[in-house]
Amino acid sequence: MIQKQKLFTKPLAFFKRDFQIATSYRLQYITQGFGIILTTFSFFLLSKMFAGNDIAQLKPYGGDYFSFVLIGIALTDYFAISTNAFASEIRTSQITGTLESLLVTPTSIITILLSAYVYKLFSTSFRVLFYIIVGYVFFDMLLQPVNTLALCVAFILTLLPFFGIGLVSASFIIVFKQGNPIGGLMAMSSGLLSGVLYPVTVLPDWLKPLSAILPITHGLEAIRQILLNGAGIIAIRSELLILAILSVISLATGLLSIYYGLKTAKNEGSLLHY
Amino acid sequence: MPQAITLNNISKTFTERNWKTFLFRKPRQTLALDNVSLTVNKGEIMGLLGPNGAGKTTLIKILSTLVTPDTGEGSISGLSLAADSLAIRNKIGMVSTNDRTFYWRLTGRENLDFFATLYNLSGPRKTKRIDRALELTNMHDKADSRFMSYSSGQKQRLAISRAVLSDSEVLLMDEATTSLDPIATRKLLTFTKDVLARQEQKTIIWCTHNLHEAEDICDRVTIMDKGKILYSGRLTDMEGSETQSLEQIFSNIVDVIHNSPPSDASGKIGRELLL
Repeated sequence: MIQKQKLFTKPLAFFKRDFQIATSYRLQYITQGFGIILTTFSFFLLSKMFAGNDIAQLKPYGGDYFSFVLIGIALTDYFAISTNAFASEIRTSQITGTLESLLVTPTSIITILLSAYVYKLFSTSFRVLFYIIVGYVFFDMLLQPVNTLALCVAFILTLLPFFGIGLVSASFIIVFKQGNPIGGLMAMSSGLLSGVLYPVTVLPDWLKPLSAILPITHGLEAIRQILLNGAGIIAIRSELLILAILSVISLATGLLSIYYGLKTAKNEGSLLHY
Repeated sequence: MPQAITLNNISKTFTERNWKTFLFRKPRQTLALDNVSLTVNKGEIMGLLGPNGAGKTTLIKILSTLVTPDTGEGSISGLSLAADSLAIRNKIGMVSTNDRTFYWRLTGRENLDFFATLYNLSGPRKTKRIDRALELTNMHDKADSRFMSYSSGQKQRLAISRAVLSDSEVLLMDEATTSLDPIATRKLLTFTKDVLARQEQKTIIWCTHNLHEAEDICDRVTIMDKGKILYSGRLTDMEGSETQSLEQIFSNIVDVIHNSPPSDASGKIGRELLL
């Protein structure tokens, strides 16, 4: 008899697994904490160069470079983890040897991938919160009262396209095992084109169309408007609409990729190879 | 007797794929299974024997839905391998030589708790099944130690605990004794025969290249080489079994098959060809 489970039972099991494994390596929390403090301090010092200067490109974001860049850095963490989490679960399981034991259970690969994301989302949220607390408490980061609903909607719509990209990335690992170009491409394009470190308005005109098709550009814009200007859903509706369209395209592509990736690997007998 | 596993005319060819085959040359093809048909009855221990490269592991992977056959069809407990792969995985438990299929930094119980959830168990039923699985394999005392501290025998026993967690009807045991010493091997063979097969009524595929192991515990054996089934039946029914060693019989089978005309259309080898 197959027992019916609640929707979150399997994601919670993965969360528990990852938490138990992570807490068995306690030193990593201390090094990560120091890393965040040092990064924040570096950007704080960098922002001192701009202090007192009236920079036109920063005006739409309240004029404070430190707050602008800290949000960019913190959110990039989310985007990176969402792009890489699925591929990393597959790759780690291939290398450690646990992939076989996961795939012979009556749990679909999509459930496995989404469930494996839960702990990573939690730990990234914790890290991002730590960034913002360090920035706010020690380095005078400017924050506005936040429209929570707008923040939640923008956040979810920003992450969804990355789920799709993450699924494409995972299917690449399933078929080719190594040399996944998607994580690197995303990191490069987000650093250069999406406005993590500087507003996209400073990009040359010929690069702006490329920047406009990246979900991270619109996600960053929406979330900065909410956190730094107190914007609501109406004010960021165009970004939300673009993110919704990119989500649909990206998720459909991701699901198709996983389907064909699995089919190929099962046909080739290479599902467990690494 | 009701059948737990049926395979009809299963074939599988693996095609090499790399940058050289993409750019320069025709890919090499390896015939892993050639028109294999097999039935295993409920509660039976079927030995799957053959040298390396015989196709045993490919067959196990097809049964565990990790590899898709090119042709043919099969079922486990009446469920189709092609159409019901998720449901089939609820019916099978797998034990392999690979001790890296567990999370080494978790305890045995934590590992079982995680996998039990993936086998759709939850709440008190999950706890009960974990306790029962640990009790069956006599692993209660070590359950709360980290997996990395286990001996090879204990790791294998935990793998069996996991395989019986879901109350699976079919156990696929792929070279399960490879890393065990003779005493641990003897214990595992006795346990498999007395507890898993007789007491728990599991259908077991015992994949090995050790003929004596198969003789010890298997009700029937299927002997494979180069993707073909050379013999399927009782070891004692094989001609010459009273006068020759198992190794001699096996070599004879392989020699005869390799020097004989191709098998008949059904893929079965006539008994007269065996010796």
